[in-house]
Amino acid sequence: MRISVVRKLGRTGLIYISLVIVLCVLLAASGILIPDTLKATHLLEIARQSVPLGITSLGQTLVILSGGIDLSVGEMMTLANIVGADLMRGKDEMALKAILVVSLLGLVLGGINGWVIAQTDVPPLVMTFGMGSIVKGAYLLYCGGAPKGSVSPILRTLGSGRLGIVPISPLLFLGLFGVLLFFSKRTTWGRSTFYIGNNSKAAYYAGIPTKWRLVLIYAISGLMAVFSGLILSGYIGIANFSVGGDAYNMNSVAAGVVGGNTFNGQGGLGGAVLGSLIITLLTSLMTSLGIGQAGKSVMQGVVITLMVALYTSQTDLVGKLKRFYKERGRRHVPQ
Amino acid sequence: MRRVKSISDSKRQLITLYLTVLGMYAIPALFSAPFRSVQNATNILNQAAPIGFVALGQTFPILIGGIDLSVGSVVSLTTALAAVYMATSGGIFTGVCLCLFAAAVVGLVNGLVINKLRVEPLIATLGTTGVVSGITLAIMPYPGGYVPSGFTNWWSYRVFGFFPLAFVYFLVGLLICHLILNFTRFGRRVYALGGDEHKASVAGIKVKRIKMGVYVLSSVFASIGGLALAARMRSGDPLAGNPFTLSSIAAVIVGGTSFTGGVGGVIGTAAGVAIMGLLSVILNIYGISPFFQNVLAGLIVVAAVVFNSIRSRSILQAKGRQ
Amino acid sequence: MENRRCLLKMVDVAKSFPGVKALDGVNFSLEEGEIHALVGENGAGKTTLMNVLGGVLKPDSGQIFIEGKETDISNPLVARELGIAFIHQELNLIDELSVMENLFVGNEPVTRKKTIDWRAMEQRSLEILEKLGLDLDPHQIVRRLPMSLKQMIEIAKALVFEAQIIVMDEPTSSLTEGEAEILFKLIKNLKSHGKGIIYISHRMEEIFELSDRITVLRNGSYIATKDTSSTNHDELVALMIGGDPGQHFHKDESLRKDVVLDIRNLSGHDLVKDITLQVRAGEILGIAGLVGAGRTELLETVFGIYPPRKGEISFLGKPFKPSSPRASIKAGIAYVPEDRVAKGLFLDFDLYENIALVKSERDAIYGHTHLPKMRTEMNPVIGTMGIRTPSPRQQVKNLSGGNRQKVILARWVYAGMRVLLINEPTRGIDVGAKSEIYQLLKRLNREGVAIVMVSSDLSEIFGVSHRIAVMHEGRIVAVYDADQTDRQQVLSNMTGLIHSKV
Repeated sequence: MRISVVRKLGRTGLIYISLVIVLCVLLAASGILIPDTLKATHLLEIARQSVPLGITSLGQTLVILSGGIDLSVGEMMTLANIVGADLMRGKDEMALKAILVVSLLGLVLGGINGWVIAQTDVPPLVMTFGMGSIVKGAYLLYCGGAPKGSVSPILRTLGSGRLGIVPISPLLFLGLFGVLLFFSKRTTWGRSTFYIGNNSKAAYYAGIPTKWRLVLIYAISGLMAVFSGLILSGYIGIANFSVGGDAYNMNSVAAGVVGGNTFNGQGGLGGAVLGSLIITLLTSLMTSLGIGQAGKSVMQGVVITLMVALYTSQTDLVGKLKRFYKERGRRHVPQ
Repeated sequence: MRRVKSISDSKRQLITLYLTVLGMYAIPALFSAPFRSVQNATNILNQAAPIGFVALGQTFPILIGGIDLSVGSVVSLTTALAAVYMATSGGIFTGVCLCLFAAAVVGLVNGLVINKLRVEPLIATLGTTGVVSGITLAIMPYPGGYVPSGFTNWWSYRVFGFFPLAFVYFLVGLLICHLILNFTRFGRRVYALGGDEHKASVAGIKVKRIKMGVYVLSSVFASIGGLALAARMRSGDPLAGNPFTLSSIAAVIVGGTSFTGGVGGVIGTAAGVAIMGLLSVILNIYGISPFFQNVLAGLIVVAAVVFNSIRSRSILQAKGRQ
Repeated sequence: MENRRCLLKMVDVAKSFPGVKALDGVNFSLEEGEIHALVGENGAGKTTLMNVLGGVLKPDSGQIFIEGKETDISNPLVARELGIAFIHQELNLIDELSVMENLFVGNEPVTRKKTIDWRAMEQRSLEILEKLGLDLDPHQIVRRLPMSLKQMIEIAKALVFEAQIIVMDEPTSSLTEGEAEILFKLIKNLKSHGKGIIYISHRMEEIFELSDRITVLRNGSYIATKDTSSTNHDELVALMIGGDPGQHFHKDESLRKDVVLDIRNLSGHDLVKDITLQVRAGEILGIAGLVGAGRTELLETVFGIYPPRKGEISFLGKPFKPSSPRASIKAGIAYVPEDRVAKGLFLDFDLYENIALVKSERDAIYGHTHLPKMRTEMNPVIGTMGIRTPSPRQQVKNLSGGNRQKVILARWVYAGMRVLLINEPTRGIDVGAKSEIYQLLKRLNREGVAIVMVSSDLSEIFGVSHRIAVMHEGRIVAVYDADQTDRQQVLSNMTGLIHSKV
C-alpha cells in the first residue's frame, strides 16, 4: 500500500509532504522553545506575516518555472506603495482608481520585462535587475524623494483587518492562490509556463507562442508584486520607502526554490506557499530567539543554495526522498 | 605572404568607448567651470577607484558566461573587517591580509558550490551573498568603526597634488588584469571557456580549475574595491557594498563584455566604469535629480545588453541560420 | 604506391554492441601520402571503425598497427599523441577566439616566464597556414569566417600537433561547391606533404576526384578495397548495396487519394530552392538526400519554422502560408523532428503532458484546458500506440528511443492531423521498435493522413514510401514512383552524379 502511495505522489507530492513535515518540525520547535507561539492567535499572525512574501513568490515562482528570474519585484512593491498611497491620500473613493492604476503599472512594467527577454537574448537577471533600478528611480522621481499620502481605510482593512480572530489578508492570499493555481493547472497559458521552462524550443515546435507567453508570465509576476505591495501598504498605512525592496527579491526566489521549483519547469505554486510559510516561520522563530538580521541573512543564503543543489537533477533528491520514505522493491526503471 | 591588417571589431569598440569617455569629459568641461576644476577631476578619479576594482573582478565571471552577485556583499564585508580590525588589533598589514583572505574564501566557496553542487552561478552567488551579508552584520551591525589614517593615507595621498593614489592602484590593478587575461594560459583559457565550455574541455582545458580561479579573482578584486571604499569613508558600513553588484555588472556590460561569454576585456570595463561615473557627475552638476540617475542606470544597462544581443543575433542571421 | 611507409594497419577488427555486430573482421590500411576513402551506407560501420581508431571505442578483437608497431589506443588522448587527428562534421572551433588561438587552444606556447608567447604563436600559425596555402590573418576572429575556412582551420589544428593520420568525416557536407574545391586543393596539398588521409564521404564525385584507394563497408563487414583508378561509380554502388534488396513492406496503393499538400516553387531558407512537390492523402512520400541537402530545412519551412520567401503552398485546396508552427498545427500539419530531445520532448514531464499539449493548445477555448479529463481520453491512444512504460505517469526521460518516438507520434495522433512531416523516423531506434513505427505510419495512411518522410536510410526510404523525391543541394532533383526506380539511381541522384528532372 505504502509503496504505491509514494509512487503515486510523484516528485511534487513528495516534496510537498517533506515541506509540511519541515513546517511541523519548525512549529514544534518553536512551541518547545517559546510555549506561547503555538496559540491560535500567534499562528494566524504568522499566516498574516507570510502574505506579502507569499503573493510575491506566486509570481516569482511562475517566472522561475519558465526558466527565468524576476529581480524587479521588490521595487515594484515599493512602487505600489508610493504611487498607491499618493493617489489615495487616505480617501476610500480614490482607492479603486489607485488600485487600478497600480495594477496596470505592474502589468505593463512586468510585461515589458517579458517582452524584452523574449525578443532579445538579454538574460532575465539583467533585464529585471535593470527594471528594478528604473522603477526605483521612477518612484523616487514621482514623489520627489519624500513619500506622501496614506492608505485608504478600505485597503487598511484588507491589509490589517480581521474577521473575528482571522486576519483578512491571508484570505485574500488564498483567493489569489486559487486563481493562479487554476491558471497554472487548467489553462494552456499557465501550462505552457512549465513547458517553456523545460524545453522552450520543443514548446515552440509544439505550437506554443513562447514569446507572448513569456510576456504574460512576467506581467503576472509584476501584478503579484504590486498586489503584495498594496497589501503591505494596507498594513503599514502610509507611503514609505521601506515597503518592499531588495529583501523581497531574494526571499521570493528563496520561497519559490525552497518550495521545490526548478528553473526547468518542475514544481508548482503550492511549493511557493509552503516555501514562504517556512521562510516566514523560520524568520519569526529566529526573531523570537533574539537572532538578528545577521543570522537570518546567513540562513537565507544557506537555504537557497542547499535547496537548489538538492533539487537539481544531478543530486537526485527525489530518489533520496523515495529511499527516505522506505520505498522498497522499486521496479527497474529503464534509462 | 600578404596580410591585411585591419582594425578588429573589438578594437573599434574600444576606440568608440574611449572617445565616448573623452567626449563625456570634454564637452561638459567646455561649458561648466566647476566641472573643469581640478577638484572635480580628483573627485571623479577618487570615486572611480572602488567601483573600478569591483568591476575589474566582475569581468572575469562574465567573460566565462557566469556572474558573481556576491561582490557587493564582499565589499561590505571588507569595509566592516577593515574598520573593526585595523584599529583594534593595530596591524594595518594584517588587516589587509585578513580582508583579502576572507574574500578568497568567499570566492572558493562560490567556485565549490558551482563546481561540486552544480548550482548555476546566479543562484550560487546569490546564496553566498546572504551568508556573507549575515556574517558582515554579525561583525558590524551598524555603520561605524574607524579605519586608521595610517591606512587611509596610503589611498588618499595626491600625487602631484591632484592625482589620488587610489586611482594609481586602480591603474595597476587594470594592468595586472589585462596581463592575466592576455599573457597567461589561465587568461586565454578564460576566453576559450567563455566561447564554448564544451569545446574548451574537449581541447583538454581543465574547466573546473579555471572556474575556481575566476570566482576567487572576482572576490579578491571586490575586496580590494572594499578597501578603497573603506579608505574613502574612513569607517565601515555593513550595507555600503550593496549597490556595487549592479554597478559592477553595468560597468562590465557597458564596457563591451558580452553576457554570452568569451568577448570583451578589462580595458573595456575601465571605460565602462568611467562612463557610468562621469554620467552621474554630469547629472549632478546639471542638477538633475539623483533619482533620475537610477532610471538612467537601469536603462543604460538594459540598452547595452539589448544592443549586444541584437548585434550577435544579426551575425547569426548573416550566417543563414534561424 | 611502392615503397611507401605504412602509417596505419587495422587487421580483423571486430566490435559488437548488444544485439548488433557493428564491425566484423574489418581490414584497413593507410600509407604515407595517401588519400584512402571509406564508403558505405549509413550504418555500414564507418563511424564505429573511426571511433575505434580514435580510442573512443575499444574493439572486441583485432589489431591496430601504427607505423608498424602494434598499439593499444585506449583513449582519445592516446590517439592524439599517436598523431591521429579527427575532423568531424561538427567543428570544434571557438567562435570568439582568433585563428591562431584556435590553433593552439589548450596548448598555448609560453615563454620561459610562463607568459603566453604571442610572437611564437603567430610565427608558428603563419608557418602552418602557409604550408596549407591559406592566406589568412592569424589574428582574425573565427566567427565571421566562411564554413570552408573554418574547416581548414580545423585541419590546420591537426598540423599543430603534427598529426600524420587525418580522418575527415564528410568534410564537404556544409560547404558550397566552390568552397569544396578549395578544400580539395588543400587535401591534395596535405597528401603531398606525406600525410595519410582517411576520407569518409557519401559524395561519389569527390571520392573519385580525391582518393587513391577506396574501402567499402557494408553492414559492419569488410567488402573490398579497390584502387580508385581501377573501379567505377557503378561497381562501387553495387558493392555498397550488395545483393541486399532492402525490406519491402506491403504498400497498399488503394490508399492513395487526392493531393492534400501542393507545394509550388517554394524557396526560403538557403537550402530550400524552388521546391515543387505534391503529396496525396494516404501515401508516404520519401525524401532522400545527403546530410546538408536541405531536407530538414524543407520540412521545417512547411511547418513554419523558416519563413518562405517565394512560391505557394496549397493545403486541402486552399492557399496556406506557414507563418509559425502554431499556424501549421492549426491547419493540420504535424512535424516529428529528427532531434527528438532538443525539439520534441519535455523529458522531465510524464507521458500525459507530452501527449496532451498540442491538442490542448490548439483546441483550448479562452485557454481553458482540463488535463485530468484528457488523461482518460489519452489512455486508449497510449495503448494503441504500443508505448511500453510502467505507467503513463512515467517521466519521458526514462523511456527508450523507440518509445520516445511513439510518444511524439501519439501527440499528433491524439490531436489529429492531415499531413505528417517526419524527419528520420527511426534514427537511434532498435530494430523491433522500427517495424512498429512503420506499422504506425501505415495505419495513419489508412486513416487518410499524408506522410512526408525524410530519411538517410535508403532501405527505409525504399521500404515504406510510395514515391521517392531526391534532394541535392537544396533542390528536388528527381521524383520517382518507388517501384519504378532502384537504389543505384537514387544514390546517383543524391550524390549529384545524375541530374534528371521528372
